[in-house]
Amino acid sequence: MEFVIGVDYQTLARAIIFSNIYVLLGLGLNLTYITTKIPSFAHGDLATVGAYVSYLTIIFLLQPLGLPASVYVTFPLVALVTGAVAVLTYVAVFRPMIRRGAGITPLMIASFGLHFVMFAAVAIVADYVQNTYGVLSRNVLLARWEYIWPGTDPLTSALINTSIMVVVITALLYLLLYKTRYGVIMRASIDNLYLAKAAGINVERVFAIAWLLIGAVTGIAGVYMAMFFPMTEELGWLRLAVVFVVSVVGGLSNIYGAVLGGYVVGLSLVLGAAYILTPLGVPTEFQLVIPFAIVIVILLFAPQGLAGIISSLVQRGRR
Amino acid sequence: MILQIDPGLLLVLIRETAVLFAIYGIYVLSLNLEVGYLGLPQFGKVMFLALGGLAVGGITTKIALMTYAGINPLANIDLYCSAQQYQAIAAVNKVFAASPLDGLAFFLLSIVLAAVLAGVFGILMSGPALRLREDYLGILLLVSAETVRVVTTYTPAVACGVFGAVVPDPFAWMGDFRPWGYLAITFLFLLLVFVVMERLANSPFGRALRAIRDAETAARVFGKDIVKFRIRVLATASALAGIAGALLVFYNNFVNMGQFVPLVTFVGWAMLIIGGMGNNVGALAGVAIYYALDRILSIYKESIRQVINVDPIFFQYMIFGVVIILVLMFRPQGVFGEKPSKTLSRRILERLHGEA
Repeated sequence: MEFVIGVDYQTLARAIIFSNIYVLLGLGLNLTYITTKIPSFAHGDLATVGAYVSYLTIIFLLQPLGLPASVYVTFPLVALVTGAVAVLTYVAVFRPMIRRGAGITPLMIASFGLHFVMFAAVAIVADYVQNTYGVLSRNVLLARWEYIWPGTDPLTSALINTSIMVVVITALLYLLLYKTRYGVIMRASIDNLYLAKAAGINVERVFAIAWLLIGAVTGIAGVYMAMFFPMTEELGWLRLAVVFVVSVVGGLSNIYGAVLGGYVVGLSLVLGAAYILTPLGVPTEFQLVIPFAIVIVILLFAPQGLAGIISSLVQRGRR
Repeated sequence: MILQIDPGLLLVLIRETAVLFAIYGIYVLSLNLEVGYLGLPQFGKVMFLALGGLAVGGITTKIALMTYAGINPLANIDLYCSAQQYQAIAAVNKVFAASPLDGLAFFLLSIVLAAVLAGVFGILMSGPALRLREDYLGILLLVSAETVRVVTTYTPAVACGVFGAVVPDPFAWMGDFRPWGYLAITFLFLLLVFVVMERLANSPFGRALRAIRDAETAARVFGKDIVKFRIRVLATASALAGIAGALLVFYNNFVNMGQFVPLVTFVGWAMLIIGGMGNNVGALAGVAIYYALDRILSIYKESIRQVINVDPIFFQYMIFGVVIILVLMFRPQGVFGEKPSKTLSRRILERLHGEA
């Protein structure tokens, strides 16, 4: 029981914050998987783009105009720009390739090519801004512009804000998918592509809009990432393996699997490092091995992910 | 915009590029066996390169230290890694400089161990490769490679962890000719691997692999044991990648396990995609194109910097990204597409039948 009692607030708060961020990243990746049938290697770079859009907006728009410099003011622009980038990748690369009947592996490699392009584009912008305007563009933390609730410390505020974000975004996605006509169309396209096409739905346009959502959610997740990890052009790419783990643990083809996966991975990562690895004298860098071990076990024994196991258990229970 | 380059310097540049071409040639040929012929989404390729590096930097280096210098690095690994490495390795190098036989024995032991270690891991990986779907398998391999990297990088006893391990030079006896000698050795390995791959690809084994890739059920109907084929391919390709890893470490005389990031996997894929999957000549052409582009851009680095004040390496990344996407979209078979496998000519076949 010492495990449960011994958890201190700081570590727990960080664990939940990271889980929240991974949930947001995983949501986007699962939507990608649902629409293109691949886990995209360019997903982390969408988050990087979001972080940089937020930072550059603060530096070049909000501060010169004397507006309140808060990341939340930049969110609409972040969502819009990252969403546009995501739609562009879908329209310019994935859609033509899917039309030509490209298989899973070529699509995954194409997404890797996209990673190269986006990663380099962000780096070029960062270099240019630094060399031309003398603005620090690497290893910045966006936490400086996070909203701090009155009477709390930054950690608690981040905990509150990321949790609110997860609740709001999952609720919005739920409302969109289950309570609007458009959501019905989108779910129809996801469930049965050919039937939806036969019913006269323009599936490609539906997926393009899904990609707008992917970009928006991932961009916002990227802003939160840049509050805890130093912002460089590799911000998203370096953590992509963990996001893959989140999606696989939850189940790739279920949107809300990412919520489950995010908490399993985030909590096991931070709590595991603090309460299993440190007492054993293992360096904290090993913490990444925990989610990797989880996903290897899950892939070997239950490739449909935790969400799949739960839903099949529920079905068995009903019978 | 023709730059004046010192011819001596150019020769060195070409030589160093050729060594890397040979090493990555082996790496990409082995990737081609898995990807081009068997259709495996091998996104964890760097793992086997890393294991080859580990065999040299982590195992045979320690053996050499104990035999030739009487030092046991494991006795105080932290002190050894941070302070004693260079002197200890220099002592071993002195032995190798005097005795080519010892050097060659060390080299061969390292290569064999690298191949065995990577090959065994390849067989381990064939377990999941038989049961998982393409996308999940790709993720599993990627994550396994990351696990290997994290574990080996942060365990100092393996290869001095984040410090990186200095590796003795088995060719110290070559003296000033060492760079040229090493070029010859890597090309010898490349030639050997290429011939084996060509023979393999055009043999009944290679045709069976293509059959499994294109129509698994049909191949099974014809009595091909798919499980056995996959295990053999993974073991062979992994062992070859292990050899490439060992050669890479001997080229640098240094290994840092942290260098084996997923990017290395994808650079291999990029080379293969550009050159053409399922074609060994294409695989090598891809490596050559990659390095040609890489070196040309690096020569013009400073001129680019004068036009726009940005690190030119990022333009290189961007060009590669665009090239990969364009090739996949408009020429999925690569520069050299897959060719039908060569079989014996009809006349020879008829003669064989006549004899039988």
